[in-house]
Amino acid sequence: MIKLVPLSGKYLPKKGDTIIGMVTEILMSGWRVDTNSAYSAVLNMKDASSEFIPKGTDLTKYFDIGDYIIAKIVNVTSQKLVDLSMKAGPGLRKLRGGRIVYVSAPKVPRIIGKQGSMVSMIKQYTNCKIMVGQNGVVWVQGEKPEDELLAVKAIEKIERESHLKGLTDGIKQFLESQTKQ
Amino acid sequence: MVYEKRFDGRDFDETRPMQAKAGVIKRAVGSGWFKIGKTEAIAAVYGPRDLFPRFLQDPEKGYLRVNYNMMPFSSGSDRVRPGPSRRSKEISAVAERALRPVVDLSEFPNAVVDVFIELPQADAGTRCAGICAASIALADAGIPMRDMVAAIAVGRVEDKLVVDLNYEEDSHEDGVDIPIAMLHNSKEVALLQMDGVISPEMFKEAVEKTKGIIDKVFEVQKQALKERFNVKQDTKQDDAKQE
Repeated sequence: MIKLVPLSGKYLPKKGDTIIGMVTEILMSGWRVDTNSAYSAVLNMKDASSEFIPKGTDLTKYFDIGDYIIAKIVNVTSQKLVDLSMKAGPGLRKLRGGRIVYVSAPKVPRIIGKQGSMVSMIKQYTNCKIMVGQNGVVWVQGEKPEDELLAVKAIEKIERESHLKGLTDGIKQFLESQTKQ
Repeated sequence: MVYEKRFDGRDFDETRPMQAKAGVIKRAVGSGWFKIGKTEAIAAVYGPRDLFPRFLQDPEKGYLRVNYNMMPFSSGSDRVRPGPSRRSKEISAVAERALRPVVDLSEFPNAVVDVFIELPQADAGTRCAGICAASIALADAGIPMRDMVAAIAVGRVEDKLVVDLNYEEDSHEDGVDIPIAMLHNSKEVALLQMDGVISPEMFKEAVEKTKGIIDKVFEVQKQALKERFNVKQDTKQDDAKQE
């Protein structure tokens, strides 16, 4: 059987992916996190922080409902029960401020670019901090809202034109023309 | 009376003009539009997403759910009463069975892929147009598929074999309407319904004839999907206008 990579479609959780998710529910010993896919994930409190969280702690002190977090998928079962960890690597944290953009998951590699070239170009032109989750959730934070909006526009343009030739040049031109004004 | 010439002047094995488009609904995961003559269908795909009610969940594979609906203003005569009816439930079920063999949902246990087929305008052949649109929408949504499903109605009006009946022919007193959906590559039959009486010889001829027409329908579907990812040159101008 041949499997193709679609040009569009929803994200499917995969072990090892770093994603941006939203906390949707406080569980007995952790958090339920929306992953922008058909399956929600669970972040256990023992994987949430390097500090010890004693039993009975109010978990909203760490992450409340509606918070966005960067986390790594450490396990996916055959039934698509997804386990997250925030201790599995550097840069895994709660996101404060900024704005969230949803893009289609198959376009994520195009937004990042070769060795992160595309995303660092947008960072450079817009002075924004950008985090791209493998699940198609992008976090953008800039000093001014206009900067953030420009970065969002550029990301949306990549999503629209990602399969065409000369993408990097097109985006560079777009960013240059927009920042000149 | 002998049926010598078709009511709308077409050849007996000629379909009405077909048009198709993919990605017509932005907020859906995938969508398709299919128009054949005056019959027009829109399909939207949502998911894979959480499946409720829970007893429908299957831990082995995902579930395909199709809903067919005619819009109140779609018919040529009386208003179609909104809401589920015996007819729309039946068509939802047969469309679901026509699409299920091509989609591979083994990657999505406990989840559902929802397909909504809406008909803004109807002039016979709605289930066929709906299946064609749904097939485009599923491919646009990136759902793993083995093949595309294309559908067309064939039938008999008096003693003549006709292809793609319109409403006048469909409601002819001495006629048969046979909607057929086939997988494009294998030509396996995914849907076959019939009302009326037809001789076995003529029936076989009708099914044989469908195979060639399915290819034509498929070409229209394929073209729609290709165009979906062919961003037109004028997007640069659009950006300039926004500035």
